[in-house]
Amino acid sequence: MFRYIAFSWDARHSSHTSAADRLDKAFYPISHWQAALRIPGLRVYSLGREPGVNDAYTLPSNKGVILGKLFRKKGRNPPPQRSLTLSTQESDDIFASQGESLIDSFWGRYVAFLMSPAGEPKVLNGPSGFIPCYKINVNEVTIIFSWLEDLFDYLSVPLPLSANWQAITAHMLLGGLGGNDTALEEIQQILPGELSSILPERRESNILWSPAAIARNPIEPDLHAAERLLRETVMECAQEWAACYESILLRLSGGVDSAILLSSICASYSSSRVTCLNYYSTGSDSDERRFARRAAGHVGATLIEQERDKDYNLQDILDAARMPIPPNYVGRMGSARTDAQIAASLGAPAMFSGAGGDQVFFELLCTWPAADYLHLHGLDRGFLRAALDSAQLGRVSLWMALKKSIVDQSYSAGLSDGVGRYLKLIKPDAVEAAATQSHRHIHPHLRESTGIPIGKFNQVRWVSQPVDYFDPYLREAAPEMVNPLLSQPIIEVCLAMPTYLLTRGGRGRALARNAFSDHIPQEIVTRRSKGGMEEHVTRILHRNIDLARGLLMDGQLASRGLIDRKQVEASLFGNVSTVNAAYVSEIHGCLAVEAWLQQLSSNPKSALVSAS
Amino acid sequence: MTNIQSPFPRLRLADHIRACEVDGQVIILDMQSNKYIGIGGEILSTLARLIDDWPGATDDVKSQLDKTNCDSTIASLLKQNILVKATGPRLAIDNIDEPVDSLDAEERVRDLKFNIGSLLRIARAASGASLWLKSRSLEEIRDAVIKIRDQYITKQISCSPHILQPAVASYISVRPFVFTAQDRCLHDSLTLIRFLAMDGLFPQWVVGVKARPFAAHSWVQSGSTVLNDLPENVRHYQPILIV
Repeated sequence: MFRYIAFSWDARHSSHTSAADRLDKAFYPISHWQAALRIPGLRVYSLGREPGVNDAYTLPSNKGVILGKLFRKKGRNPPPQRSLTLSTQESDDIFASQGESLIDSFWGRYVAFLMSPAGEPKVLNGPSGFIPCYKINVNEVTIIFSWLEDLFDYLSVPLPLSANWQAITAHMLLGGLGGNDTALEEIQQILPGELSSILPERRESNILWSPAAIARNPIEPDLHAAERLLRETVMECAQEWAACYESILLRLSGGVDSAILLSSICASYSSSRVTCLNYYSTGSDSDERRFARRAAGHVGATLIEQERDKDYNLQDILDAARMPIPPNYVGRMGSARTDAQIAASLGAPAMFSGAGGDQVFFELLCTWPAADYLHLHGLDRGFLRAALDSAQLGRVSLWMALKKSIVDQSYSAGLSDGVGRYLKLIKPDAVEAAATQSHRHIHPHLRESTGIPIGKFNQVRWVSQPVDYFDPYLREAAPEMVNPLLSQPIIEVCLAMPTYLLTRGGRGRALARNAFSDHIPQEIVTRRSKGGMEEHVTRILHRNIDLARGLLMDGQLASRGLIDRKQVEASLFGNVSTVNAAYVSEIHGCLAVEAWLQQLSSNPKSALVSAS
Repeated sequence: MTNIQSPFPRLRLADHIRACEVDGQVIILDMQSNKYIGIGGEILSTLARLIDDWPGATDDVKSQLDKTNCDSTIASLLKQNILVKATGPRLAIDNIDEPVDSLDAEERVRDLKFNIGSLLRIARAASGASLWLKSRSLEEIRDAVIKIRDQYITKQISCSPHILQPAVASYISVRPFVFTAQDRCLHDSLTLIRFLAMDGLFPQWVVGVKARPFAAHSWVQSGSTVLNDLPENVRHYQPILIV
């Protein structure tokens, strides 16, 4: 499992240097951590490096180090190659631009530690945000890290942590935390595309990469050129990632996105390198095997069909690794352990998935594309076409689409619009209190999204949702997650193209479907239905109802007054087969947070000592 | 088996009534008054023992416990004409396959040129459906749907997907010029039924319900293929009326 830890301090103060030295002892030279950079004021270590997969790209003259995986952007690269070496010019440009040329000329999965010309250490989290980046101040030293457990395991100093209840509530409302706050008071996160000073007491940061800025400068190629651009970008990214691994396990749902990913990889590599894995369970929305078979058969790849573990024990969530933000287990229920076992048996270090396709390719029932057209072009000849497409997309009449586009084109984004509207378990006053502060937990680039039409704004919001890299339940046993469709070049291309181009013809993902119509089975190109896990998720809750009751009725969320005990009682007691289906996701969300609280509170090393 | 003493004769659901069990409740659809009634609790198993065609299983222990409540419920249902004496057989009720596939006709829409004939047909079908919904009970609408088959019976052709797909694509291509389908499932379904009937195609019109929270939904299905919705959406609903 690739991860890193770095210490930064003000080297002008000997006491700070001594404090850093004491922390450093755990990592150098006696442990198995590899030193990536050791200079006055900054020490960077990594674990789990693998050449060609997760590297350390050192800038000359101790100007910095980039950890992770870099690819050169299109046009600057020979065919996919596993290893990359930064030229002197490239290194100089990265240093001189303080990371901007890194973002402009490269993409991948990385965190960069850069010294400023004034000798101040900074950290840049790559735009994909694939690798987490957190910081905490401990005794005049700033620690930057990706995996909180490393601090508990290796540091010899106690780490008293406090629950940030305001952020915890926001997390329950928003489904994540997109700002710098985490659910722990002492720990901040460096956001994707953010360059932050990491000297203690320095709070300076800049957003170097903003999806909103990309969306504000649309490109509008003709349809065929757009299809070609999208196809080439997706293929390049998929193939670059595939080049890193000799053997790949690919989660093949049978949907458009995973089929596109599979065909893109197999366009350059033998299908024998890829083993596909499809999960199914009872319930028509959970069984897409037919489509998975078509996709795998189309490229000649091996397909493993695996039933989801319907006996998944929710007790496992109480044994999660401690993270600064409560992890969500729902997507992993019934499959994560199998992923790891199959990956290990195949010798596949990575699991690829088509996650992110909905967001980047634009799959949503709405009429926003017409409003976007009106915003960008006004009432011209193309507007009627855009309105008709939006009517098809939103299943409304043309007149309704026209009307909504006029109303929506002057839409002023409310970041907390509708927040908490459908929640039942969280108390209304907690929702209200958190909603007033919700702007703190939204990525800064979303707060500055004026001038972006409504459809594109919502797309920017979706792609800003963080994606998990680590598995807190299986830890090192889990294969490395790779989500190629969320690669920076794909996001940039899709955000630059207007929504009415992405949905031309009135279908979600229309451009992507057309771009790959010759590469994936026609049945999948035209497929509108989507797999889900709702029945499986509900079944798991029913089977673990006693644990759920115990956790929520007697846990910290209830005692703090965040959730309504009466609502919990109404939802989870009585005839368990009648648990309101609308509550199931919310119940699992609350359970995840409660388990996280208990894990942090009960472990003596983490010492969740006080609550704000 | 425990005997239940009942003051009522053998009863059954009236012909204009449909019922199904969902999430531990029995939902009753009165097609004459267009009303839904939900009955839940331990009384259900007693009712299942006393009423022919009552959805759900019997339970001897619970049956014994709920007799008192049961009598008043039955009396109420009789008064509302939901139950009748079981003197004769009930009308046969259609069955339906589990929805598994969607027709995915949208793909064909972009290849279609605007067709004035289809527009006129959908306008006619939609206005007819609107009139039905404004002026008729569900029972009368059901009868009208059955009669449509008689009206176009000479044109009847097989409802295979490769024949349905272009027909439904044609429908979808002109629908935006006539009405909004989103959140108007009943109107959309009845319009589609009427539209396809003009081509001699007679898929099934379905109304389904779910409980907790209660909701009703309508769609059109042929075999296991859903024509105007997605299988994963309609699977949440238990069919209560199939025509």
